[in-house]
Amino acid sequence: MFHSDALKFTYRDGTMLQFPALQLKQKDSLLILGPSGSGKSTWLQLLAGILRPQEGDIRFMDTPFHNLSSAAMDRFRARHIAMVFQEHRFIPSLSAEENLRISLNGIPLDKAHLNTLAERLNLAPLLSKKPGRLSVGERQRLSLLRAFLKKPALVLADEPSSSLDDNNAESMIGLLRSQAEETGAILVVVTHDQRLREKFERRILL
Amino acid sequence: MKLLLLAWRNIRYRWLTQCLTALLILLSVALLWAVKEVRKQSEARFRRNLANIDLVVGATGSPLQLILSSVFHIDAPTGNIPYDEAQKIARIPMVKEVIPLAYGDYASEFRIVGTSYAYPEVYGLQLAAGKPWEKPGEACLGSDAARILGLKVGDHFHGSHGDPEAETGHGEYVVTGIYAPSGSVLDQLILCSIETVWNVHTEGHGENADAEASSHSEDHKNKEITALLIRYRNKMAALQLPRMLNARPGIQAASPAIEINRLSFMLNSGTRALNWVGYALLLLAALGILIQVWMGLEQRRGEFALLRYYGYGGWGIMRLLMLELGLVTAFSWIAGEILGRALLYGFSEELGYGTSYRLDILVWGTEDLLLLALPLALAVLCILLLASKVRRINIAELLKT
Repeated sequence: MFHSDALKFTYRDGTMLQFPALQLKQKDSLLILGPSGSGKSTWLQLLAGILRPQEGDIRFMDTPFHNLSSAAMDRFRARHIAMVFQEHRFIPSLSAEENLRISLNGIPLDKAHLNTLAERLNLAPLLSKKPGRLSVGERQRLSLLRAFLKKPALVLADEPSSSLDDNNAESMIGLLRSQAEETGAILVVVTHDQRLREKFERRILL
Repeated sequence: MKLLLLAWRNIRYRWLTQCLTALLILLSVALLWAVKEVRKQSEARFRRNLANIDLVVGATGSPLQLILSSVFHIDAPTGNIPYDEAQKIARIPMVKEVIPLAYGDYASEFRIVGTSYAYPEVYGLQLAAGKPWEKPGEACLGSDAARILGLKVGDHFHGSHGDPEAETGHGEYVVTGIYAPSGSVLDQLILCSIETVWNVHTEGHGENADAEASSHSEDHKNKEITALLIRYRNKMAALQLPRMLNARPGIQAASPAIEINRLSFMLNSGTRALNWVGYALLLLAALGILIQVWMGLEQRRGEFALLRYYGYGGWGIMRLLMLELGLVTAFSWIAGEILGRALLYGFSEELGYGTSYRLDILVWGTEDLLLLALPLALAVLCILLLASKVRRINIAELLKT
């Protein structure tokens, strides 16, 4: 379902990075662990189609990334790939629910799915609030709700636990894994956080 | 839930940063609109009141004052001229028609003008009620004067001497007719015979006032009028008559067309200067928009990167910016149109010419849409200038902490 060749990417300053090939299927979880500067964020951007590799290609849901224009890649990503960022960013002028709705950008809202996720993540009473009025933990959960609301086939998480204490990190990864499992999405977590090492059976160390 | 709602929410969320731009657009629209209307309406009213009057003869002084006082009734007269001189002018072969005007009294703010029947005829006035004046003391009222004074045919009223604010009791008049509205300055005048004005001004001016009045109504020697309106018999008169009349002692002849062109030129100089101020404000607003968008692109990189992640693309972000600025511009334009009307009303009242030249604030034209299109076009231009910066916004911004 998700296939990535051995990818090669060279920055303008000549720094060249190489990444191993990947083969992932539905409900697979993968941890990419490495220290800062090891190129894991570059790899994440390649897997998300934000950067284009100089060598190698990525094929996801029978769609070769190298054939897609920038606009088509934006549309494909918006429809099938969800990302969870280290900083849980939202549009500050909109309420939590409006943030969720605008993130769908044309994908029909499954109201029952939204309610289920909101209940499960304890966000139901908070959806009318502005993100700025939510606590860090609530914003994390809202970020997860946003990621899984569009029923993505691939979830890419960038340092999801780095700024969290042990309890919150545990809770965050637990939620990520359980939601990915339930929705059948592939989960790829990129981090330098060694605490996550034992949470994933499948991992790549950079 | 689309970009329009997001734009609206963003404006409300960042209202303070929009204020300066909105204020500059608002002021420029208000100023440009008010200046345009002052010029347009003033010129239209001046031209309408010319009514094919070719020349005005009055006492020596400022020709513009003579025209303003005797054709437009918005200034004090330059003085009086002998009536027998007016009769001599009427006999000049180049003169087709003369209309004598004698005034000095008011009923409230409305000027009482002694004249001939030719005066309302030249302006195409029709009686809506009653009949023309016949005897001394009878008067016909313009439509606005009758309406505002609340007078009808058969009513009596008193004049005040020399000043609308002066005490009343200077002569008694009876209303014999009321004219239908004509859109000219005559709607705000009270017309009567010249003899009526003479009689009122002789009454109480001495012990022998009655005797004086009766003797002078038979013989017009030593009587005066304020001005004489002249219509030429032929084009040759335009070349010869003013020069001929200006050579006579104690009188001057002034052409309304020439004086109005001079007045328009003066008015246009002022309005041109104000227009430049309006355009300068608009330019400042454009600069404000450019800075606002530029800074917004820096400060809101995370938000725009998020929109790219949602799949809205660079064009989606540009549409959002256009909607935000479009809404701010539209609201500023509406506020500017309202303020422009308030300015026009204030200016009209400040002129102090009463109802005669009150400018109409409830007017609307396609030019108003131009005042919306101009700042909108500037806003779009500013965004297009920054298009490459918008396109460079990357989802990778979201990966930065």
